Amino acid sequence: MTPRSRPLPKAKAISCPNCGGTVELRGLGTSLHAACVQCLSILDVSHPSVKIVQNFENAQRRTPKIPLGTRGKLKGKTYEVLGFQTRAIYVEGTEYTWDEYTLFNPYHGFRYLSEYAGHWTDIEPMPSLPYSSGAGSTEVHLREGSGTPLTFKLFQTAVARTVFVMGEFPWRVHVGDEATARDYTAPPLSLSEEVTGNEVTWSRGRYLDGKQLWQAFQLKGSPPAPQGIYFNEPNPYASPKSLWAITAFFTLALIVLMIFTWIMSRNERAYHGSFTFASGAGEPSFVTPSFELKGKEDNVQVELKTDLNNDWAYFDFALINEDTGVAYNFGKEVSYHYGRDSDGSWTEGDNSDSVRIGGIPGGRYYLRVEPEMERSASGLSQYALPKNIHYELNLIRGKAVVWPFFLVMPFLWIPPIFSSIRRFGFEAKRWAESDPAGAGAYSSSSSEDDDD
Amino acid sequence: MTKLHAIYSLFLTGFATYLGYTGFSFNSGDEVRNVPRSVRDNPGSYRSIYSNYHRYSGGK
Repeated sequence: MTPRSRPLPKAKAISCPNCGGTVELRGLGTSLHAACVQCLSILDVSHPSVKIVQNFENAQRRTPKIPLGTRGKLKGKTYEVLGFQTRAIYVEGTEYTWDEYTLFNPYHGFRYLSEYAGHWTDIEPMPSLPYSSGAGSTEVHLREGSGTPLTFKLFQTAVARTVFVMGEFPWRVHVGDEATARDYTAPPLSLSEEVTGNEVTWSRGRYLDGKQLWQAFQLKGSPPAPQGIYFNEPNPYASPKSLWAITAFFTLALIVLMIFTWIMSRNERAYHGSFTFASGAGEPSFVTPSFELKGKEDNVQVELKTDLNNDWAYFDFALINEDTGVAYNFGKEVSYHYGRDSDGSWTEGDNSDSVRIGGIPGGRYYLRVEPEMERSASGLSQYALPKNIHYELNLIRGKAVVWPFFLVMPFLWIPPIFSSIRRFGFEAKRWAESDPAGAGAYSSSSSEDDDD
Repeated sequence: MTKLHAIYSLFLTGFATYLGYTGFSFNSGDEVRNVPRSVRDNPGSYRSIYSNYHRYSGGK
């Protein structure tokens, strides 16, 4: 008969020597202390003659969220809730309490549940003791089996005090018991070290979803909603490492493809000419000799180099296909001004500029050019003298285009940056509550001493 | 998420490569069809829709 298929033994009942109420003992001789659910007196049940260890007048009663005697399955094993205690720490004058449940299976022993602000942890005895990196280290390591040791970071040090007890416990529990508790975390796992006098107890926990727990114990209603971020709560946001690896790969790919595109671009001068333009001296437009634009669809860039001096000129272009009669109209203003004012010297524009149009099919073309500029700086055209400018015109076929690579690069980085911010934001909130040195924590008795 | 990001990155890289390789420009000029051959001999007879509208507006 396997442990799973064996029936769970029934509870034994005793009378409370304080109130006479019935105290059920489910621990089958493993419990040392039990608290009467009626009068809350703590009884020593390790001997046949039950003795009162502690009793209380007008003790504040607390109701466990999982009632004593409830049975549920954790990791495929049936456990029964034997005991319930509330413990507290005091940080900067504020009491923080959490609940602990003692679970028992006669074939598998004890395990525990703790609950703080809707966050549940399944706690079980340690298979092996952790080891520290060295004196003063805030990390401990736990090796289980032949795997890589897990590293746990110290999250909090505090003096934990037992403030309420109900049910059975496998240790001699008292209200007012104090222990120095250190919590280490490697979400969703946690390690807790409790020091009482010369005794050190370690336990290992795993964060538990409240809804799963409610299902496991078939509890009515829904579990309390978790508040805030708990010290061993798993980060709901996945590690961005893989996103960064993908981004790094594609960033490299973009750079390589950009260089490849730049090398492979035609970047060929299809036409070059030098001209002089005199404003107001007859018809300004002219056409260039025909030239060949090679390849299929590609861009064309017209580069203008002028001797403009505190002046501007506008160039109207029509790139006309000799064979098809299709024209592509575009223009470019070139302006170059400079001077000096109360702010000092200034310049604006440049006497060289360029314009690019895309999607031009290959073929024989000629360029119609129509320059335009004011006749004189005075603006009084009837008295103005014609002005001359000299300019060079270069027509480049298949100019390398690299801006799309720079354009998409930030979009490539958005997902890992966003993912990292979310993940590290969660961790920052978690660790904002950390107090590894226990600087803000003190025991209730020391606080009372301080008050005196 | 990782798979989605890989697809997204592949799309962006492919898009950038396509634009770069084809020499894409936002300005593709204003296309006019059936321009008469006489423009070659008489350039003044052709006026694009933008000619003679330009007035300089720059300068400090």
